[in-house]
Amino acid sequence: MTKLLAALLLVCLSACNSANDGKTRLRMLTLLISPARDHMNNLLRQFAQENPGIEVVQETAPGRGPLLMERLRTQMVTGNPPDMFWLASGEIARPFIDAGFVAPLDPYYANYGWEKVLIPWAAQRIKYKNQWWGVPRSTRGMGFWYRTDLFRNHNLTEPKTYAELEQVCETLQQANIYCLSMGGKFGWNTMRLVDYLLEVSAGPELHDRLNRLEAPWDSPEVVRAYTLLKRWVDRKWILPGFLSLAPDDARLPWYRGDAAMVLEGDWMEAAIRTDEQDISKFDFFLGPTDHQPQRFSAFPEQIMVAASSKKRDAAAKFLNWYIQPRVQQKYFTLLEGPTATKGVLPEPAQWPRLYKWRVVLARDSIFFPTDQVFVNQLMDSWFQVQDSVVAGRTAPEEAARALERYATGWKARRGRK
Amino acid sequence: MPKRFTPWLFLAPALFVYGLFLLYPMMASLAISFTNWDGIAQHRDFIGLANYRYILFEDPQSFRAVKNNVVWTLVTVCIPAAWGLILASILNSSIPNRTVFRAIFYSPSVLPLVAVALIWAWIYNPQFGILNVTLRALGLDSWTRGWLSGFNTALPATLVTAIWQGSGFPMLLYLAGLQGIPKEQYEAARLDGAGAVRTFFHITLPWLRETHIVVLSLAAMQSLRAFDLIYTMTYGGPGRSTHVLSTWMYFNLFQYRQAGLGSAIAWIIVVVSVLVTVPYIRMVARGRTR
Repeated sequence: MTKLLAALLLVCLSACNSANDGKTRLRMLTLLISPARDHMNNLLRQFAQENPGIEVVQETAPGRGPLLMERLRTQMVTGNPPDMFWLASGEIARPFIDAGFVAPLDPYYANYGWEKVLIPWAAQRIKYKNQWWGVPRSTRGMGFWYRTDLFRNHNLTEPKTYAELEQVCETLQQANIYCLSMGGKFGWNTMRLVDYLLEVSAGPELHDRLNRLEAPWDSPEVVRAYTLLKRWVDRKWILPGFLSLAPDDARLPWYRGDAAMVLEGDWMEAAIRTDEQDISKFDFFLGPTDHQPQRFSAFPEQIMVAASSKKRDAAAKFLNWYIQPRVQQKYFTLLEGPTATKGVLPEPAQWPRLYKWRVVLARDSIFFPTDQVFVNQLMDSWFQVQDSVVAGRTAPEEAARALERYATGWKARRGRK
Repeated sequence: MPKRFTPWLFLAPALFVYGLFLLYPMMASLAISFTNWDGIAQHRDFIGLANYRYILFEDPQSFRAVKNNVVWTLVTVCIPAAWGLILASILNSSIPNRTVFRAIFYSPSVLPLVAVALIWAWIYNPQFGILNVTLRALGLDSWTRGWLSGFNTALPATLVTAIWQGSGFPMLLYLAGLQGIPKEQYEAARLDGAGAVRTFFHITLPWLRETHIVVLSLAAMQSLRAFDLIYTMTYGGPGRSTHVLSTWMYFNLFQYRQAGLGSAIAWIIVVVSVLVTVPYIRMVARGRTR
């Protein structure tokens, strides 16, 4: 019944929209809002000029990722998906792949040689079951953004070790400045700090095994990570009451100088400019982990092609054009700054922090944020535990035991499926 | 065409829309509630009552959501109704500028819930919120806290918002009810020497019996649909401490991709809502047949 209705609607829309000009028309779902959406339309116009037989039409699900997910899911289930769609990587994309809604792109990777163009870790990290299901459109990284003026006023420098970072926080705390402002309302902002502390305490190898649920979550390293989290809260290095704040609202104390740092991503330079702040007052450093390689939290985002699309070749042609350095170089700063293409850098004088980020993001020393590793339900259990530790209701040892219980339960349920 | 079909002909467009956009989705969600569908996959298995069994007997979070719902219902049914009655009684007397006060007390009811939630989230903001700022100004620093970030304070803080927003409508209904009480009743009571308290309990309250049922039934139905305030103010947190059934349903349906489980929660809410609605519907039906 649902499919019948959707099909009727589709036929109607197609009849209304199709101009019989022999062009191949592709629909692409993005989550851009103006002005980036308008720049994307300019990019699509340029593509149409250079490739007269193909036209790509942008559809948008503006706002946060969940809106795009809901729209995409509805379109998929009702049999009317766009030919191409933007999606995050990891667990967020997997249900769509498992449900058979996404086309594998391995033949196109081989034909077009996309691997040579893309930042290696981005291309590798979007693989699932040894196949490529998308083309990375962006690489995103996260680190400690700090107020340069506050650091200067208190004779602080970027820390090189975890102990130095704690010392920075202690110095700021004694000056009545919160070290870190966070918005813990949705869980993932707090998760970034936990992820970092886990990298510090467990190191790269164990951290990855924990994320693959191959190592026990009640291990001493996990206990230590949560002990450190509790220390950050108890020492008042983090803004009090942050669990109820939305991440965007957490920037306000930072802009006011009440807090010295936020744990945010490469997108912050654009956000700082949008918020009409002076970018020279802000810089970032990667959290020191005391491990080699010094990894940081990062993730790619991708463009996928619908399995039901009859125009996959045209979509691949567009994707190939889209990821080329000349196109990315022209548009990537206009499209909120992301790219996954090798060697694409912004003008350093114009985008000083983004330039620095792009250099950092070319390195292959990253770990995935946990919310791209775990399914939502399991992730929410993690958020519940971290909130409970922050609130002082759960001791780190009990937190680690709870995480292991959730992990074991999840593995058992997954095994039954 | 036989004449007896004419009413159906006129009803047909409305019935078609009702069936397509209400009955069909409802029946589809009932069917989904008996499956393990994740909301995306192209197949689903029939699992009978397993989702219902899990919600009612196994899932600790569902228990907590039900408990929160009970608290939410008790508070948002009793306090706004009582407060609305008090306000209505005051504003029904001949005090100066009572129209202005009526507008002031009723105005929160017409605001969108999301806007109300955002306003109160800022009031509760731990750094800049007017509540903590006022407490600090009064030298009560030790009373300040993250109202929405505390496991023990988040739900009560959200309830305060619900009471603030939800008192205007009962006040309006009670005002209408009060104006329907014959003045002779009060005059007779006064002549018999009844004081204000006695008059209130022996005349005002009994005469408002039907208004009570309307107010309490509507408030109970509203409380079972509580979603916007909790979703916007706390997102079910901290932890999962402020989830009610409707937010837990949403999380299961749209966040956890458990369409079967989420639909089962939705149907539990429907059944409870219908049970709560019965007295109200019976009363309305009785009123029409009189």
